[in-house]
Amino acid sequence: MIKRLFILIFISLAAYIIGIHTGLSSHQATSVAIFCVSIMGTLLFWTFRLTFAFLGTSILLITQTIDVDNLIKSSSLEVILFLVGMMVIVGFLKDAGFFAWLVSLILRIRNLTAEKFLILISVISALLACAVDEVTAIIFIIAAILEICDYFEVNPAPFLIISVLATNIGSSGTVLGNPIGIIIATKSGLTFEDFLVKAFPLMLVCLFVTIAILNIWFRKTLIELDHKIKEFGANDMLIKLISVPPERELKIGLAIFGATLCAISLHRRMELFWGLQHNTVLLVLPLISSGGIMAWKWKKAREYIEKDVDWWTLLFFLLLFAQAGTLKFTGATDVFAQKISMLVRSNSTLLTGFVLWTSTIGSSILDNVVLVAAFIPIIQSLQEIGFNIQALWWALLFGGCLGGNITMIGSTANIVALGILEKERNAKVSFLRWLKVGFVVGVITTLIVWLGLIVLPFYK
Amino acid sequence: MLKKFIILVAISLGLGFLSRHVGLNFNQSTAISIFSVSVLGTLFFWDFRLGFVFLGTSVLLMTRTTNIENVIKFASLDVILFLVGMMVLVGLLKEAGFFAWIVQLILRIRNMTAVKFVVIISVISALLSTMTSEVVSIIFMVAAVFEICDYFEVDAVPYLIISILATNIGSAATVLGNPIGILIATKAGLTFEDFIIKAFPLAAVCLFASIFLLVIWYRKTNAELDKHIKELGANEMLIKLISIPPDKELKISLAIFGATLFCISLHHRLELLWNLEPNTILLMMPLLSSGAVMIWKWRRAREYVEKDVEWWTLLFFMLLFAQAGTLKYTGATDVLAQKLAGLAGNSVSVLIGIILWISTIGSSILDNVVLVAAFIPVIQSFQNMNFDLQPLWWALLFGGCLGGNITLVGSTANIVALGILEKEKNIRMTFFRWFGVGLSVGILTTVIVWIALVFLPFYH
Repeated sequence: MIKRLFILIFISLAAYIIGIHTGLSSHQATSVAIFCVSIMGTLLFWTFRLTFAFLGTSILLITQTIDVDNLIKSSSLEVILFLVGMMVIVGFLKDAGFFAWLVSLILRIRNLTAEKFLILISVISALLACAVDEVTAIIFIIAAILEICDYFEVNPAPFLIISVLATNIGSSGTVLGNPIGIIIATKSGLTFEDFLVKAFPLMLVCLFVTIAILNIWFRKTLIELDHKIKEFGANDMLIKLISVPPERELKIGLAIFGATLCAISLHRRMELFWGLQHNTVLLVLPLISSGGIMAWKWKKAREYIEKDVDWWTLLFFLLLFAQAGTLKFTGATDVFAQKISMLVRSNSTLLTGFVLWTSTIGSSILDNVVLVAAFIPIIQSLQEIGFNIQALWWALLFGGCLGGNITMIGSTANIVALGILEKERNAKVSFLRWLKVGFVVGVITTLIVWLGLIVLPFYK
Repeated sequence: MLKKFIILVAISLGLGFLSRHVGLNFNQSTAISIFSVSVLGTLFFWDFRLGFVFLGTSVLLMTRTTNIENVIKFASLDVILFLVGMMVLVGLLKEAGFFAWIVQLILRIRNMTAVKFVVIISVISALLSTMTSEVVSIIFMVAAVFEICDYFEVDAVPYLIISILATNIGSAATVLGNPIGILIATKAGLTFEDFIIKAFPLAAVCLFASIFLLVIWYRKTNAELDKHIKELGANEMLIKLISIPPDKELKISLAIFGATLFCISLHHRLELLWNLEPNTILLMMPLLSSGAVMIWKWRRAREYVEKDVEWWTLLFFMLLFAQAGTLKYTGATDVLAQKLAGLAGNSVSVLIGIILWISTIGSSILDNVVLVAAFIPVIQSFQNMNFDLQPLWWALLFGGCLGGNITLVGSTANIVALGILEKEKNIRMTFFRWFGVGLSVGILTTVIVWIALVFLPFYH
């Protein structure tokens, strides 16, 4: 541990010195070095990464790299409040039995075949990740997969991998799928409708291609499953055993959630109609719904806030955003933007590819929020240089989400899913086993997005 | 419940219309009306007060009374982060056994007499709440009081009341005692040193006057305790039974906490030395220390942040501050300030009295943070009218802390302590049993503060 701590300090100091030598001012170099501390902190000390964000932010203040007012301004509190609201709503849905009901729906499908199962879990994983968030989605889909695989006595690992891959792809489909979605939406001014019109179809294409690949990749497992299904005579037993009829509370819960989603998807129109600022309705809606839920379920209000909201992660995000804001405040990201624009010789097609691949490869190792937080001010600076940046936002979004598929630590959903597999079935997936399939899917989906962003004028 | 809800809506709407009629514009009336929703929400629906601030803030945004930038600016994230850091530190102290160690120090006092007992629990309650926070300190003081009273077989209630009253008085003495301390310090630009020089002696005077009053008030109980002490032959048994020597971990924790307090007390000098903005060090010190603590105790880091930090309350504060900021942003508090100044006939002494007594009486019913959050922008507006602000800030601080003694719902410490009493001893405090002694102490101490603030030039 001491060794890793030294590595962290060493790399950050090196970043500072290199920064100074390549012509950054001392404040700019400090902000880069401190951001390095946070990156290395998440990489080397995942279990207590918040510590490094605390210490780093303190150093930024003491060295006068940023002042308290600007720190607060760049902390993106509105995004944090949005996530708090969504987490309360999801906590409530969990409570009302929404996910258990969904699982029972999957278990009770008639005339199950292996291929049908593959398609079904991929599509449901992706759609659920779009509507709630990837971590919640994966937890419940895995419950369904383990149930079915146990029933037919097949190895759940391949299906688990399939559903995780689909979840990560699906999380790029809307603003809600992934924290980076809402961050990008608030900073770029893209609306929920933009996401639905542009990101969602591209996500679907990626998803279907992935399903086709996986169908071939896991053909042996699928044949085995088909075999077992024939032996056991389909899942008639399961259908009879499990039946969770939606009760009244669940129906009300679904209605609230549906209304929220509906209102969120119309947010741009409402803002125009009432003459509100950009994204006001988008950010306010989760607060309204969760406020309503807390008034209705007032006995559990405190529990929703304390148990269902992941404060540890949100506090980390808050400080991380503030540090990324410092990069912008000191002008370090302007310098980066210039360097990047020189690197690509001001060619915006090249630039799109650069952003897409950097963020894909970066987020295969790093937490994608860390990566996106650093990239956003750079893209904002690129706009000032005179690039058309819409394609860049999409490149960042898809890179951040699809890169998570490449390695087994690429996204939170992967880590959570593999954790459950280890705990429940005592089975491990080796790094290489994941890397092979993850790499193929990651690279092919990123290629699709690359083509889409460059060739289709729609994304410019 | 429905009735209370209707009352809430009726009063808020009524206030809105009323302020519209006395000449406020639409935004100002909306801000006032929403703030009164939050005030009444804490009063009627303590268990889910957060629901009301969620909805209220949403309404403010949707009616364009405020915008997202202002919500973030006024949310006082610096204060929230300060409190997060302090809560982590106090969590460490709790875990290291600091409070258990203090409790046994009290239990092991030699030659115990009733008066000595009253003096000791009052002084320790006050000092502990000055350093940590009132809620934490009262939890452990209650444990000590119960232990002693059980041993000598006397009624614990009078001593519990004494300890709570002392806790509330003590919380006015430094920046750390009460959330309103740090709130006032950041908004008024007062330093920790100012608090030590000006608030601490005044709180000490109030404390000794209260002890004097309480010794007379509870002379019968004390006579009984003295009798029991003679009968049982002092607490020799307790002294022998209990002895917790401070272990290594406790010593390190104490050293960290001590160093933090030391740096906080020197924050103004350090800021001057390094040429930093006012209160930068004050706000950042807890972050720095708690960051260090989380490296040391990295296995528990996540627990400190999730269990020891009161997220429910902090989230409420954050949105409450944002709403109070809206009062300022719309100019509603300027109008209020003008009316108050007119009422006071532009005399500072009268104004001090008005603010002191309003905040005393207000915080005897309301959460003092709600009250202070609303008052701060009003006091800031007085600056434009060339008033001397310093005594007004002290009046607000002492009013907010001392008013909590008057009723049994006046401060969080009261509610927590009486909750423990009910749970452990199954005794329910009646409103009037508290009110008699609380009102006497509250009025006595407020009068002391009033005289000091008006007549001593030191506070101007």
